[in-house]
Amino acid sequence: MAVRSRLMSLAVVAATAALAAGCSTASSGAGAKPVSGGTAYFAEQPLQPPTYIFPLISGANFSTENTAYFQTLLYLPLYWYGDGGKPSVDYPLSIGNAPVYSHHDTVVTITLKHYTWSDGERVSARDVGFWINLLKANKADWASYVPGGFPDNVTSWQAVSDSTIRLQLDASYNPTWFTYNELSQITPLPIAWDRTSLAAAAPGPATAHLPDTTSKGAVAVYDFLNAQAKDLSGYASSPIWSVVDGPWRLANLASEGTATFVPNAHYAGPDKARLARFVELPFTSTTAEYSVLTAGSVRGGPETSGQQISVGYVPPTDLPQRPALQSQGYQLVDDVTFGFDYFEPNFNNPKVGPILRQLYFRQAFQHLVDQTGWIRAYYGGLGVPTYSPVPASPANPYADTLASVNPYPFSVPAAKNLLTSHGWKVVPNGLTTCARPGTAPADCGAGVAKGEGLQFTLMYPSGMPATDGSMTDLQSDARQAGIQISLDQVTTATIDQTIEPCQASAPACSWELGNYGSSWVFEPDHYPSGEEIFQTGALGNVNNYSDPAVDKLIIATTRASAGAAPAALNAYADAARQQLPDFWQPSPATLVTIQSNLHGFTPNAYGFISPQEWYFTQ
Amino acid sequence: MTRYVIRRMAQAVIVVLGVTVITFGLQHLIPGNLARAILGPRASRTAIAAFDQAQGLNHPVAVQYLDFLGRLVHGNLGYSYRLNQSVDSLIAHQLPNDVLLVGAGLVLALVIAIPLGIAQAARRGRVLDHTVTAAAFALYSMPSYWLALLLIAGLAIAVRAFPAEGPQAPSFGGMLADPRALVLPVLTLTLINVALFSRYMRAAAIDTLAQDYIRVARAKGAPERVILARHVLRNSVLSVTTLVGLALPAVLTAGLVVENVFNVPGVGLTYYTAAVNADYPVELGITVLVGVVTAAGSLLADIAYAALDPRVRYD
Repeated sequence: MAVRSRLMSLAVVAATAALAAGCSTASSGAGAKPVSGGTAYFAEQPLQPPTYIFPLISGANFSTENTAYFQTLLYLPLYWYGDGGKPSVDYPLSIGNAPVYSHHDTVVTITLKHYTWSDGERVSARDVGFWINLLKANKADWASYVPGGFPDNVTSWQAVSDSTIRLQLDASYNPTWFTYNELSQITPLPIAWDRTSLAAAAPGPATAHLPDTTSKGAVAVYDFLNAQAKDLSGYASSPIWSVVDGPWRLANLASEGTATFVPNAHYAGPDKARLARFVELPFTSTTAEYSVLTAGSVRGGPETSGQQISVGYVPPTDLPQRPALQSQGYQLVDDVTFGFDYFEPNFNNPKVGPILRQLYFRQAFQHLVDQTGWIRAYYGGLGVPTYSPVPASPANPYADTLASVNPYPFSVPAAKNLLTSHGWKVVPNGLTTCARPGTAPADCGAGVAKGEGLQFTLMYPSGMPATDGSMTDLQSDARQAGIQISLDQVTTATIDQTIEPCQASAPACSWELGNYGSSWVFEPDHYPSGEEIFQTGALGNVNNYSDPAVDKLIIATTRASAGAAPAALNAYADAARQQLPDFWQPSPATLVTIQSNLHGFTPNAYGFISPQEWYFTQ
Repeated sequence: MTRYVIRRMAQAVIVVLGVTVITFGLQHLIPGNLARAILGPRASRTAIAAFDQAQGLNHPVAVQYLDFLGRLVHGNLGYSYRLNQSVDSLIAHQLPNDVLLVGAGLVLALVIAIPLGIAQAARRGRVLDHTVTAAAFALYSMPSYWLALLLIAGLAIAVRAFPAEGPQAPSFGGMLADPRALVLPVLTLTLINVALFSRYMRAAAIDTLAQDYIRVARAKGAPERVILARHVLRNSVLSVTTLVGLALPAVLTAGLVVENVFNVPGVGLTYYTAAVNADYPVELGITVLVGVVTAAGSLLADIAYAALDPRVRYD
């Protein structure tokens, strides 16, 4: 599943890969002498402290802050995604070696490197099986669950040895897709957690009849672990959560959200921590974070104390202060996540749905979206235009050359021409109406009545200046083509509650156009295929888009052989970019600030952080 | 007096119940699917059904309300969907921050505003009066977030005299142990309150100074200092007493801006965030608390009135 990341919360800090221009990982610190120790302070997103430690996480707690900034520091996923800024698997940093697909891509064999849990046990094939068993019995509690997807498509697993697990799949799958979208959902769990109470001694690999081996037992184990995860103040001292295999262990989680990590002495990976401590700091607002950034110390290290943010972010409204931050001494890194941004037309809306279902209308509307202008005017120059659901930025092996070409460049005259040539009487600054109803190529199209006007309500979240500016600009440009847009600012929760798949007859289908104010980020499903957003009936297909031809292309991206996979992905991407299942808008980037003498920070295309790679110089 | 207090407390219970009914009703009038808002736009039907069942959302609204009241009677304010902890525990952790910041701001404001208002009244129309009036109007008309940002820009960033954020310790004692960090948030709240209280105090003191008993005191040769301290202060402070009583709920809500700008997690900000994020149990739990504190503040103000003014009697 991919996750929609909020523009305000998004962003952010560690998410990302370098932009093509000006991109930049933080300085390597060449020439300066590295020092061991010190504490690095990381700015959490406003009011989003870590709140859930158990990796089998439900949608209610699923957030970048809980997963990428918290759980993965303690409990390593089977594969580490994001390789030096590129959206690909970093096998040297992964527990698993590259998976081997066989039997016409219906069997996956994974060998594990020698990693250990902090209780001394080896990270084994059984630990992977433990995760799969829990998932199969508790699908409703797994935020990334998609019916028919992982773990439904794994019919059985077998621990061939301590270090090798074999998965039997229910069909042939594209190996790249399966590695990036399905194996990405695996986090080995220690057998010490395979229990239903703290009363008995922790089980070990030799313990017989572990509860996860039955469905009922796996539900009981989940219930027990979920209950343990509700005791936030007990995380650091818990006999459950203190068994870690990641580079860090949790030293403390304070009630207001300060999370303090210290290196895990048992960590077996190649990137052992050089810092003495890593601290995540909570903030009540971006204003508060920015105040500390500007008033605090721009240098850190073992001897440094006082207010400081080692790795922080610049709020969108403060982007003009970039020169001031540079002169203060901060290193600045432009980041963009691997994803795309869009707003939703409701194809099933009884009033405007018939209009939105006309491809020529969607093309005309897309011509009114001034992506480069919005980036310049409202995004502080930090953003990338979206022309395809397989994005060109950050640089990646999936996008073809067409991903960088805007099929519908900003042009009010082009929009007007499309409407005029399809039977609409265009009235600039008035109301364009259908003059020629019917289904012939030059008519308004099926379901559009004579005299019907182009009037829409567009809902978007309040408190986001970039979204507000963009939507106001769209309203203004649309008016020139006689399209009237009523803007409706609401809370993000209201948008989430309102935009949902619906039948035309249902009251819930009254929304017309909706903008989440956030991007679609390929995390934790990292392959840019569209089965979760554009396929008919997909959970993320909230705007009721349905095109059998696109469905067929999407299925091909998941089922193609390794050799045919790139062509299948290109075919899907090129169809989707032209068919406009959504309206494309720019993806925002984030300006990350780094203390002048902190090095080793590398943006991650999927939003993970690796503070174990950070170090101070003198 | 006792009967009066009991009657007022009974009224307060009804008021608080009314507040919960209205809040609960409004929450359920919001269109859309709450489970989808909490679980995300891609939640599966199974997950939505499980959430609805776990939260009792599949029951009629009246049953849900009665369930809520049942929990409330047992001191259970609910459980936050978003923050993965009980509302009781959230409030218990955050209320001390508010009590410290808003309480300190309130006390300091009273200490400054009461003598300032009396001094203005005593020197009505003179330079001091005009100067303080101008300053009070400027501060009172200034949005508190703007004042907070000005103080940060001046005293934290330019001069670096104080930290830009409030105390970050998670305990009351820890916050007190970092007095420098308390300065800017408390100063913001104090200045805003001084502007308000001093205006009320000035007006009340001017009225008092015009009373016959003041004229008599002066005729008897009482020194001005004694007149102000003994007669004007006690008789004028009644108006501010009402204000302070009604300001008690502000401990929970007025700190919102200060919490936001100075990075101090508090109940006000949590309430706001819960409203924006559809975290209904938190919203409802804090609403109940604010209702109780408002009723208590009003009652305390009335009792203080009687204590300060022997002419006031409640039967």
